[in-house]
Amino acid sequence: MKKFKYLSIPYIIWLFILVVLPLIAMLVLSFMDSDALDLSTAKFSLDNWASLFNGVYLNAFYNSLKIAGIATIVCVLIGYPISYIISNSHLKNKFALIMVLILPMWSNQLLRIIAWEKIFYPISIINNIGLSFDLIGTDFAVIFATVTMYLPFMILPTFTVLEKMDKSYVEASYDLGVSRPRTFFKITLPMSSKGIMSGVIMVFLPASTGFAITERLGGGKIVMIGNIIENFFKRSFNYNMGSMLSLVVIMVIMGAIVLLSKFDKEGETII
Amino acid sequence: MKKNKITVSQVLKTLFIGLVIFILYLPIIIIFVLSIDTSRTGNTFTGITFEWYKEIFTNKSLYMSIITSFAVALSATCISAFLGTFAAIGIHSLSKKAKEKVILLNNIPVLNAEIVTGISIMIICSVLIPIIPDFFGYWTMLIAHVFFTMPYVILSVIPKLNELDPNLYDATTDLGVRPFKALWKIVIPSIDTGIISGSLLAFTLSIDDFVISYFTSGNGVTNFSNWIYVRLGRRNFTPAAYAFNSLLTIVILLIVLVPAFKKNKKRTGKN
Repeated sequence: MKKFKYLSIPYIIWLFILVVLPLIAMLVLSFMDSDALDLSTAKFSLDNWASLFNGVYLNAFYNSLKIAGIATIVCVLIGYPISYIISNSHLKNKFALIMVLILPMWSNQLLRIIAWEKIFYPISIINNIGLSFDLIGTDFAVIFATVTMYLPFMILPTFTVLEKMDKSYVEASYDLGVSRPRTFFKITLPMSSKGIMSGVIMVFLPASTGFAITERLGGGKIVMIGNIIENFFKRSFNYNMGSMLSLVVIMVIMGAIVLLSKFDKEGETII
Repeated sequence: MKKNKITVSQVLKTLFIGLVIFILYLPIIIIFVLSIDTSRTGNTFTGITFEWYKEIFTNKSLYMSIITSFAVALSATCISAFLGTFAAIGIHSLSKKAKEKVILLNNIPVLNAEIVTGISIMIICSVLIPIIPDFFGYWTMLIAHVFFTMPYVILSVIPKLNELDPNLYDATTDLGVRPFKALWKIVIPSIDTGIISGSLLAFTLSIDDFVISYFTSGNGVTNFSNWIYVRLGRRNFTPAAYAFNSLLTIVILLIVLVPAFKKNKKRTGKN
């Protein structure tokens, strides 16, 4: 099938146009002071990069890492046990139960955020059943909504890996008199680490770069890097600052991709 | 069932999974409650109405956004499935080293922050505005959706190509079948499960996309998620959006869960 090599060429060109060219454009924009994309009045400027260490941006980066980090840990602590319990259960139809856990993803994500927003305000529809929360603007609200949003992304890869795992290793371990917790930590956990890793990536990356959850539930108090970038591109039309911050985000993600490719050469962990 | 004893750990496990399912479905229940609430703001529950369900068909901007969502998702899925399959065959035919590099490049749209992907395509498409003034809208969204869904098709197809016996193709061409006919008659049918799962993933991601469409829509053409986002907290928001989402969720639940549980019944019937 070697002669079909050329079929990959259009795709490589397509990726270059839509991945590499925008990166170059952003790099150029980040070293400029221009009126959006109008380059006729643009001047060379280092101000954008100089302002990277401004407290506002550092705080936004810190918030993104903190909120996404905690949400990812919570997703592992909830998602992995769920996959483990279901995978080791004697249920006839494990897959249907996993589908039940994944289906909420098909409901519009923005409306799900709004649903949390509606009940996190003190006056809400749940007053009718005698409940009232005042959580808008708290880290808890943002992290809670993030976890509910991305938990299925943790359950799916960990369940897949646990189901594919050869259970005879575990049985062998029990037969040799190794205790249950020790077997779990020495055999099951290392053998399913690839699934946890892809789950972590699939939760952490969107959670740290999103802006809709903080926009609706942060009450203006919690700002993540996504909110700032969105603001620069869609509201204040400062493409220079927006490009600079996007490049920083890309560099962090690139680092993660390179790290991932060391473990996984064919991109199998992603799906 | 061998044992009829119910242990404490079983009860705890069931409660844990039940609680997680409840929290994941709570937003969906709230969206449903809001869809039958007479209050337009959705801050209090004032009574039951089905008016919003009727409004789905009368609110032009809303149903146009729904049609756009489906049109973009369907066309992007077809294009990604078709071109992605051929790109995957091309990538599969490359030498091992080149293959690893292209897969790394292919992972960038998958792992990159949605906000960065959206901005990248917005910048590239903005360059074409002087040539095509009303470029932003359906076409830019389509380019963006093909761009971020195609890598998933490729990642689903490549493992299937790896499983394929290369002699099968060689035998076919040795018997005098032309290369493309051999591809169509032998290779494609052997990898169809990968194409189908990749397409399903592509459609799911595309229909619910918010961030990338947020940056690439324009000229009044927008999808369902962005229709909601720009109207949140404004007068022109209507609970008909909740109504549509509830209908869609119920249909998807039925489509996915009924066959899943039916299969279970059949299996138990045989036992």
